[in-house]
Amino acid sequence: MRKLFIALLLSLSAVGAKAALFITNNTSCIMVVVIRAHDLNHGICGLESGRLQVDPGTSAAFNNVATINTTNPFWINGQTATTSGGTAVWGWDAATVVSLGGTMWAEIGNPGSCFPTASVTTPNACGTNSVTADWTVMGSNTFIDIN
Amino acid sequence: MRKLFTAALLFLLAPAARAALFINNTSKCTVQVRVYAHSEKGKACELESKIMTIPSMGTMAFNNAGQVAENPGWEKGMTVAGDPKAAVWDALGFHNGTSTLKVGTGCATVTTGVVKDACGADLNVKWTIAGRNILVELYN
Repeated sequence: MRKLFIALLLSLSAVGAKAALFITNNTSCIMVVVIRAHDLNHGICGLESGRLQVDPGTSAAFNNVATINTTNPFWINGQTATTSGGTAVWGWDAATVVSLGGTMWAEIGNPGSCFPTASVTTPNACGTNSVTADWTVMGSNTFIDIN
Repeated sequence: MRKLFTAALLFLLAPAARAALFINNTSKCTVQVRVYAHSEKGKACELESKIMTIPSMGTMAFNNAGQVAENPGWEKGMTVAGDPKAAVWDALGFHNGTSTLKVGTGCATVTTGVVKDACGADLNVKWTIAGRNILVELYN
């Protein structure tokens, strides 16, 4: 409930928000993230990215779905994303977060998407440490936090 | 007041959080900016980065202040003392030739502001705490 309230407050105060995706890996293990999104030509989770390696203690940022047309990890299957129609038409849907060489396979995302769970905790995902992958929408931006 | 309240709530939610810094430029113009931070036991804004150039619709992402050393680097051979993950983001600085704007905390007194960008348009700058992270949005 408190999180909902905060999200509400943030959305009210985020007039200039423009729907970027921000990824943070605070663990000591290499994480691999596959991003799912939609746009004018692709339904919910219709866009699927390649494998984005996020090293320990690093972060990644994507301004919009078309950013991934031209930057790593790219969309797979020759897909091209468009921002036409604005954020009412395109958006980030979900992600798979796996630990490189480990046992973690966390599927997180928006309610109603291909992965409707916002937070997944995997025991012993990074050595003997458990790892939590969180999908959070604040304002119109989306955050994937791996802790 | 509402923002203060939100910040307080977020702080309560994530007391041990070590924030990443994300900069998102959705303006129509390339933006040049410096980031300010301090080491765990240091003073606000003691660390000043070199100038970063962020293209229109571009982003910057720093997991922790230690990453600034790789790109764009700190001014005058400055370095983070101690654990880079314990360093604190203070502010973002903009200078367009005639005026300077700093948003954030520490040496900055505002979290939002407007500065003329290199294309002659008003650039809005907004520093917010987003969960465990700090987000700075740049937009026309």
